[in-house]
Amino acid sequence: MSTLVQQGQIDIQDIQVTFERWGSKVNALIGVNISVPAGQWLILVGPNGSGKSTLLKILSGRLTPDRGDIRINGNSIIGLSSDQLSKAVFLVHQDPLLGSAPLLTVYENLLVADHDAYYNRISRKELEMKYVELLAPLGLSDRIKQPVKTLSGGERQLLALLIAGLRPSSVILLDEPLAALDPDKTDQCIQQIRSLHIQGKTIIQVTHDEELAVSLGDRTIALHGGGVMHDESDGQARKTITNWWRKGA
Amino acid sequence: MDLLVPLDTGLLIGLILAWSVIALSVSFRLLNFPDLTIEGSLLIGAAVFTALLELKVSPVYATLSGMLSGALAGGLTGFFHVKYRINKFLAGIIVVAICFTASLRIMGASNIGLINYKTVFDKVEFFDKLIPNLHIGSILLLTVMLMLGSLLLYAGLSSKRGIRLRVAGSNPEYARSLGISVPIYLVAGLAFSNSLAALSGILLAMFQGFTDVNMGQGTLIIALAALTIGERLFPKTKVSYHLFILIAAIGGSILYQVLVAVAIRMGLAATDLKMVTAVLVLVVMAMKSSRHEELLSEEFK
Ligand SMILES: Nc1ncnc2c1ncn2[C@@H]1O[C@H](COP(=O)(O)OP(=O)(O)OP(=O)(O)O)[C@@H](O)[C@H]1O
Ligand SMILES: [Mg+2]
Repeated sequence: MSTLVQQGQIDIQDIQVTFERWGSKVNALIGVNISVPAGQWLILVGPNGSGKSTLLKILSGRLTPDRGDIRINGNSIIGLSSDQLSKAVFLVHQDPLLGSAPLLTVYENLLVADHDAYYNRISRKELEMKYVELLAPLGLSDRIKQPVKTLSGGERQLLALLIAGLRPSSVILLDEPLAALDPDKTDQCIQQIRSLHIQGKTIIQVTHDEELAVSLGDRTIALHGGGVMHDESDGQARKTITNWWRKGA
Repeated sequence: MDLLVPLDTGLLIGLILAWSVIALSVSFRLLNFPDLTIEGSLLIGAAVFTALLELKVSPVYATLSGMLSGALAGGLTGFFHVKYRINKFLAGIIVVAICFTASLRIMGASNIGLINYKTVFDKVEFFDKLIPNLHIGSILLLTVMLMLGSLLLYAGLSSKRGIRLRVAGSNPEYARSLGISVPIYLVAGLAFSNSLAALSGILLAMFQGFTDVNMGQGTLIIALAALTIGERLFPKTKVSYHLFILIAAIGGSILYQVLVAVAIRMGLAATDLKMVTAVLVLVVMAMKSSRHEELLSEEFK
């Protein structure tokens, strides 16, 4: 690993993806270049079908681009094994059902994701105490022994974000983590993402909320038709993205 | 005492086949893999065991080898599925066919008697004779085996690796994102579950005193019926899913076999058994058509 590159730096280089759909070609991404410094909290916006999820799929190694390269911490992630990939990036799904093992308990879900706990001998008591402490601010500490299936969608989303914090990966990808949450849960989830940010994780978050898009995080990028349309880090400039968006892209 | 005789036979068979039901519950419920292989692994386990006894190998090694052959069968099914993307059912069917032919070859005959060999059941013969027609010793032996085995299994499934296995089974996509190698866990899990089915076959061969190439047939239906009955009848509150599944498998197996034995006792012919199974399952399902259609397993039916 290059010593000049910081943990969590992402370089998206000329990514191009074409899907074959019913015999015709769909250009989902048309040569995207983005460089995300370590620790940045990047918000990704854009109309439906603009390529946001596709980009996250590529960043998490679920999809191989037709052209271009993704570098995390200076190393290409294309062709990495799932074990190596899982140490570099973690993706929180839009659908909270997909981001946990529903039949296992909250405790087991946290333990299996907890890299430190897996590779070190820590007593069950200690682990339980650690998790109860993590769950307490979310009001979930008394649910630790229950299967994840018994949690509501919003509670599962909170759990998924908690799990993200236990992963060793320096990059966290969030695909619309706030969709389908009530205002209260939205606040809690934002708090949770903020704490991931404070931990020093690099975050790429997709959202459809025009207000949050320009108020959360450090930078907003708008995709349109598979390409970068706007890229603003400055507070005032980011607001102009909202205007562009309102006009219907 | 005569009244208890069907219970005795039912209990014994139930305790023996419980290993197959556990095997099915592990593959079907925990790995989300409806595994047909148990029909073949039960047979090949008994076949290898029998053939090795004939070669004067000690019963312990013969048993271990039999279980290993079952593991091989299960691993093969998993391998076909993950490596060649063969449909789960088809992979199982192929391996069952392989097991059938292989067992015939291994035994060199379609039926071999075991009467001349000493087995674990002979060791408890003294207790068996305490009360005529009730095999107290055998029942105790099988119960203790099952208790110990399922305790170990429960501990294993609760361990870190066990949790990984269950995550790989219940949400493979998510497991991958945690860096869990889903194919490896699947193959290992199926190998393990089928070694238990093989154990079932070995015990069955010892108990009935012979091994027959047709002895695996119908195991799947029986195991499925037993598991279904167990899952419906046992309460699933406040225990983890894998513990519940183990209890349901063992309890269901015993209950099912006792009910079948009672049915036979009441004069039903052995040829009517398939119908008995169907009716039993339907009755249990109807009796306990669950009100709050299970929190725990609706997605995994
Ligand atoms: N597996 C696929 N096969 C064919 N086309 C696909 C596939 N996945 C995505 N696409 C197409 O690629 C384009 C980008 O899709 P993508 O899911 O990345 O959009 P998005 O920005 O996430 O949209 P949304 O806001 O609705 O989630 C769309 O035109 C979509 O129809
Ligand atoms: Mg999307």
